[in-house]
Amino acid sequence: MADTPLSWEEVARVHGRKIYNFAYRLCGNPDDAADLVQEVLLRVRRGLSSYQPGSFDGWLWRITHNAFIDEMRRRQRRPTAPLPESYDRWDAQSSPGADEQLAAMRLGEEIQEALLELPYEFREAVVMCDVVGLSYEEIAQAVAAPVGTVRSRIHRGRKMLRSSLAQEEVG
Amino acid sequence: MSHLDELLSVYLDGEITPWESERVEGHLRDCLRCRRTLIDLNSARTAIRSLPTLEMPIGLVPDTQVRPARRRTVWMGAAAAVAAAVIALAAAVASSPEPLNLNDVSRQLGARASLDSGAAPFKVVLPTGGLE
Repeated sequence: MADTPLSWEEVARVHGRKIYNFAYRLCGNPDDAADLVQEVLLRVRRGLSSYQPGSFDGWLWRITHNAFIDEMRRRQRRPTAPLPESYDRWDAQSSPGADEQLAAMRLGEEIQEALLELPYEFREAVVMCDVVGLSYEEIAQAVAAPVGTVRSRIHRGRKMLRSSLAQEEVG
Repeated sequence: MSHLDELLSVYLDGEITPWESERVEGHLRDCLRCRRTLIDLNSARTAIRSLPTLEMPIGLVPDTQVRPARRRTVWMGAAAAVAAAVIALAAAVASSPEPLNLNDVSRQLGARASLDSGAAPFKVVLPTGGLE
């Protein structure tokens, strides 16, 4: 990403979907995700005038991380709202049969529920890595933690998620 | 024998140094437990990455055009390909306590994740699985 500041509308267009997916996977429901996106864009709008050239992605994800943490502190609760039925939408390029689609949606819900069971530091690191596609270095910058801490959070998060999904399979 | 633990996730993500990579692959040849852990970690990683990309609710932002995918240099993709090849091999031998044959490993890795020796890998970019 170029270091040239974008307008907040451009930030919304270019990064909005990515931020929304991050927020949704962290919060587990569309309303909280939409609120978080709006809060992030508001902070971007306020902050662009004082933005110093550097890593724009790092700056943006730092804002997103802070907005999420502030919201968590404000609510003082772990978000556990269930997914609404049929909310997830598949890429238009894939066209599985009805049974396969239903099975995939159920699996998606199980994965989302398992994600919500993770401590938020682990969930955030895993989502930034595996959903958003950030590098360890970018995640470290966003969450203001050493890369070694990021490595550990991703690893432990995946182990917990795997354990949780394995229990679902047994159950 | 000490085990690799979080280095296995680093290995899967291609965020590993050549020295660490050598250490991981050497350890995996002889450690059944770490081969199984690698498969479990890859399973979790694949599950998360299989989640569908959601579209934003209409009106949440001014416009929601789809932009080109984020790009990453080829060495990251190559590292991931090597990791995938090792996982496949680990899966093949996970149920057996027999050590891996080093020659077979390197031959299969070369076949699955070869980089042309004449190429200029750092000038080539590949799309990642991330969102844009």
